[in-house]
Amino acid sequence: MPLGRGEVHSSVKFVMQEEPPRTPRTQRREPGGLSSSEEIRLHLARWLGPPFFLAFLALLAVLINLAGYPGRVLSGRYEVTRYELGWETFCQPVGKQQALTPDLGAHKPHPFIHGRAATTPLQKGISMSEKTGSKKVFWLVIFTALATFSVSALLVNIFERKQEARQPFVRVVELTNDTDDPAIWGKNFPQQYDDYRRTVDMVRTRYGGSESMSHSPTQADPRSVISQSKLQEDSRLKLMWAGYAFSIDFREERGHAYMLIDQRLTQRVTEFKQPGTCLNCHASVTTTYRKLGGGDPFAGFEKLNAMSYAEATKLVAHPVACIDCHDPATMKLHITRPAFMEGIKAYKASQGVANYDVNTMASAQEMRAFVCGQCHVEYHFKGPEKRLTYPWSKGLKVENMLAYYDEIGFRDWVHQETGAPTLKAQHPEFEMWNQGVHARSGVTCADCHMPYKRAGGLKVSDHHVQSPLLNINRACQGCHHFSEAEMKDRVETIQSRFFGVRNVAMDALMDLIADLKRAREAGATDSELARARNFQRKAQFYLDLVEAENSSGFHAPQEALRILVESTDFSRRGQLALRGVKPFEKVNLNSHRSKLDLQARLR
Amino acid sequence: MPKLSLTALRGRSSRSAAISVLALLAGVLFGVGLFTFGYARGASYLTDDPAACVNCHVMREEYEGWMKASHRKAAVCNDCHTPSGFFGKYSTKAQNGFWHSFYFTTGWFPDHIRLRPRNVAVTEQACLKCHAAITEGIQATRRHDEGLSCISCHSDVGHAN
Repeated sequence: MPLGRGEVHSSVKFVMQEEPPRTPRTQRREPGGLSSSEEIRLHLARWLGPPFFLAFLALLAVLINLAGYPGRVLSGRYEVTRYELGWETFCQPVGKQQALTPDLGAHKPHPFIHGRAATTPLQKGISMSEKTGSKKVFWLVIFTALATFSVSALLVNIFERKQEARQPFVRVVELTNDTDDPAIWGKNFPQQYDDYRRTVDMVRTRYGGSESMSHSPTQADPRSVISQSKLQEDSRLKLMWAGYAFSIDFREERGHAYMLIDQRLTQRVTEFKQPGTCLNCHASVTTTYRKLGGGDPFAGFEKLNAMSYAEATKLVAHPVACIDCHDPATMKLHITRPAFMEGIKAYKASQGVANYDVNTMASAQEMRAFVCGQCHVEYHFKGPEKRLTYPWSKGLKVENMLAYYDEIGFRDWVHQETGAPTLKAQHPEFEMWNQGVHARSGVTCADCHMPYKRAGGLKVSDHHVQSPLLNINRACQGCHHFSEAEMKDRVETIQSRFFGVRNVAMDALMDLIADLKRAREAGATDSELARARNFQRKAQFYLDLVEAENSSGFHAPQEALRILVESTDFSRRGQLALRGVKPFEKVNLNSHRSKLDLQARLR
Repeated sequence: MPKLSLTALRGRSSRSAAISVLALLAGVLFGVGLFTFGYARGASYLTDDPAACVNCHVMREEYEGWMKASHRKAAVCNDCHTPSGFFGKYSTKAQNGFWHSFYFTTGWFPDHIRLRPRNVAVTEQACLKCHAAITEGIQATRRHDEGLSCISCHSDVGHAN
């Protein structure tokens, strides 16, 4: 039952959100359409450009035509001259022209065609011509003034463009390690702050993004806009997570601006007791660490983990903010989350790099991925003190992380239907990106999700963090010289293939869960079920890892499909185990291909 | 001689005042226009100097890329981005110049900027013009409408961006 996530398009209109209350500019885009604000402007320019150009030419023609007037005007002879292509033929009502020129003959020579025209005195007397003369002067003044106005405007524009190119930076406020309010940072960096605030936008892409749904505010949940429920989009998720809080409430993730409010109000938090650990990544806690730890962020980190969510959430005020990624003195990227420092240190140790200190040893380009990797990772709450820990000590691949969990005997919950000790994977974007071709090419999160944009002469990272599919020109076309439509199509091809295989793996897991449940109800013992349960644990973790990963396979397309194939295999092996069938596992080492196969499996 | 009444005379003097204003305005327009032209380095656009192309900072990456690229010693911007011949060159400059100033003034342009199809064709012709000896053989075996493009592979010879 393929439940097309991409096919669900609500027509609910986006209503402004009270919290966070700042909504500088929101726009809705058609999922398949090309109507980002830049593109709308481009279309406008395409339509308005030619008329502007023509108007400009017409104005020029008129001005040139008029340029011949002052001399004749000063000599007092202009009022009796009429050119067949001259200005007044356009301006005067037909009746008046005829009254003015009763006996001028059929044609007067045009000065541009026949040289300066001979003037003929008008017979009717001067009073009529005075009247038309002052009218002409009036219009001439208007036009000259307009032209001067436009040229001055252009001059000022050129001046401004030249000023912009000088990259001005004005320090308005002093930023310290205690400045957590992004609005204060925004005084020094208005461009970045303005973009940062735009993460309130709710736009869906074909397989991701978030779509705004109207919601009747209640006492418990004052949100008037929420995103759609993933559990409703695919009800298999409920069975996959049966017995865990995610099976109660799980919605499409929204932009950074909503990370705190959406966590505070999810039923996973309101109806279950959660530790303060959650806030490590759902709020700006850099200053909170320091306050809690009396200046020592590590001590603060440990205190925060030990608190209850209800208690800890009172200590935070902002979603992820400037200080979480930037050193207030130098603006250099820095790592503020102890869990990442420890995690990356453990990972580097597994790669043979001892005592890795990320803040002093990482390159500037690595930092553009590491700051995001502080939170967009798989994690668990270790031990009774609920210490936030990243499972990287054996590596960043799915089998490395599972091996870590197996080694420490960790489980997130016991599956309600089958009794299997299962693991919930969470948003491992950093790990998946690491397996992909972009990471191998040194392209980081910020390169595509926060691509450079020009603000005047300044080149700034776009702090409106969003799907590159909503910003293909800047995100992709710096390297990929194909059309936007082509790039979008490439991404969606990858994602739709992924989504198809993901559904196959999901169905396989559903079959295994159903078989396990049946066997359990039929009275099978724990030891009889152990093998199949372990297969469920594996299949679940593999599938969940790519399901929870927010790129629908794009960050590492082949790796994502490999994981799904293995997940499907685990599910089917689990079913075979329940039937007492021992699947073929022996590798024939006699052939070269089999050796390669074995090497690949062991790697 | 037409009869001149008093009101007509008054009309005439107020008209000459208006004419003076007009002349003044026209002078202001001309002066401001001339200054704008000079300030915007308008005359530089009639030259072949690549520095003219970085008058506005939009082309900075392309310019810097060209400074480091293999073609720097062989060609300036105009060699590849305008057709040969006086008319072709200056009509292309006029067209692109108009759109450049239009988009840069309004700010309504995508950044990364991209060549329009007509300008792709101009660049393609420029490759063939200088590298005729090498490309003749290729062209002999392919119809010219097959869409084989030099820059689809040699995209960074002029400038990396």
